[in-house]
Amino acid sequence: MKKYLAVALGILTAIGGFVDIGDLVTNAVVGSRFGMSLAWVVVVGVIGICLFAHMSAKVAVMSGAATFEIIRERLGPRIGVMNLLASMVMTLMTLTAEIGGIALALQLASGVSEFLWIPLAALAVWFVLWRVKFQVLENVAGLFGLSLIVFAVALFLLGPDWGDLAEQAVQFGPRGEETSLTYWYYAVALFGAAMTPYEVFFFSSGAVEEKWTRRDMGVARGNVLIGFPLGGLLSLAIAACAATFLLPQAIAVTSLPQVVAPVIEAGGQIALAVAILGIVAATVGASLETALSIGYSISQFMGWSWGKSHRPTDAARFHLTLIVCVVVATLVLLTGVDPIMVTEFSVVFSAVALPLTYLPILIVANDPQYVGDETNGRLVNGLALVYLVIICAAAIAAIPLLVLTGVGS
Amino acid sequence: MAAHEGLSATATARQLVDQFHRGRTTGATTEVALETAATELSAALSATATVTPGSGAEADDLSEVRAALDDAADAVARARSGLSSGQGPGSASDLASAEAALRDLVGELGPPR
Repeated sequence: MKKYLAVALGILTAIGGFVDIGDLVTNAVVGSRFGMSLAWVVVVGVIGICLFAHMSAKVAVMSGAATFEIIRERLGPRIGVMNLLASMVMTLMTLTAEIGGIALALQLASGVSEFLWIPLAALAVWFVLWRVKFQVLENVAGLFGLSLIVFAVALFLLGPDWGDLAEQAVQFGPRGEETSLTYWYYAVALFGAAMTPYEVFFFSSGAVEEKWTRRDMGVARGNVLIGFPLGGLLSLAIAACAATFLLPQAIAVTSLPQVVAPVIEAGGQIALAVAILGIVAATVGASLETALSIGYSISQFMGWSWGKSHRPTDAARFHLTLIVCVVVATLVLLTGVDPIMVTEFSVVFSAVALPLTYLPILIVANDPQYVGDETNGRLVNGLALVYLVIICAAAIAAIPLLVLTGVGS
Repeated sequence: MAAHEGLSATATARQLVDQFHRGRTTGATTEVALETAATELSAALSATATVTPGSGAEADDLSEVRAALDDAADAVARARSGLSSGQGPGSASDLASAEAALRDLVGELGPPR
């Protein structure tokens, strides 16, 4: 019974934890501009993140080493440090977007300027990182993040033409006044939003920190293979709300009030309150995960003592890294940069940085020295190679598309 | 491009004010939406200032876009000041007319450029 409860809790946490500010904003933007014609990217992204998380968890459990310990070992310190820098810059950008997301959601609830909320949100994130236990932090954020199901409820209440939504979903290519370049730009952004590397750094480091064994692999597999696809459905619901309510009015999402406008229309103030709670929980959860991912990755690479369960005096450099990255993200936001714009950049750069960690994990997942008899089977390897091609194509195309479309405008 | 962005911002403002009048949203959320719309309309107006029309017809289009964006920005400013003074954002009709004017212009001008 305890095991089933752990699986159920893990799945619920994975659903709530799947959606972060990147998924929220990108899906709403895409739904409001392209309808459901990019829904296929969410499906591709969800399968990809399941595959990546599955391989990372297996490597972490079987070798007892987390992602960046392996990257340093396999690539050596010189190439490894470039990999680390690129991945950390991207993750720091995501952390900045998440803290900005908390502030924007609180601004939406209170009307008080986001600039007052930014330092408070950052302080709260740091306090939770310092004081709250790993399990509590993960479960509470994930479970409250489930409030975002209000987008799925809103979709039903809006009463869309389901046939039309389905038709949009099978229509590839741009619609209306959009161009092919913007269509592919947002395809890459949506892919980057679904396959953010920090989720994998966090997942594999958590597996090492919580000392998962082979017996825990089943639970982990269940969490990933059920929780992430259900989280993907939540992303599709956000896009469908925008496609149903905003697209016909020519409202292209550029701000958080637009993201929640369909929910307000469908369910009024109660639905708005639930949506804000969900956004705050999702962004707080993702802020914690991204900050920890940075701390984990740098400490693993440098060979420092690391772990959420270590007291600050026992892992001083790890905890100092957490503080520094939260402070840097806060200072960036206080310059007045638009958090939504940071979010849009962060999902695109996620796609750029993805091959840097995906490839080493794929190689190690086939190395018996690390994973013993748990090397990838033919099916997983076949799929992993297809994804390697997709990931590399997205990484190569991301920056040219960003420049050519003027950040998707 | 500026007309499209202005239309999106004005439609959002009109939508949120309308939702406010129907009791579906809060004053705080409406205030944030109006503030964002004001910023976007101001950015759209600034963008038109950097455009150099290539012909007389383009110059006419540009001045029409500017006038429509100005009207929309005024309507949003009135709604904001009404809301901040505690009188409510006023009727959504001003915003709706500004939105309709921008929608007509967008229809005439075609895809963003």
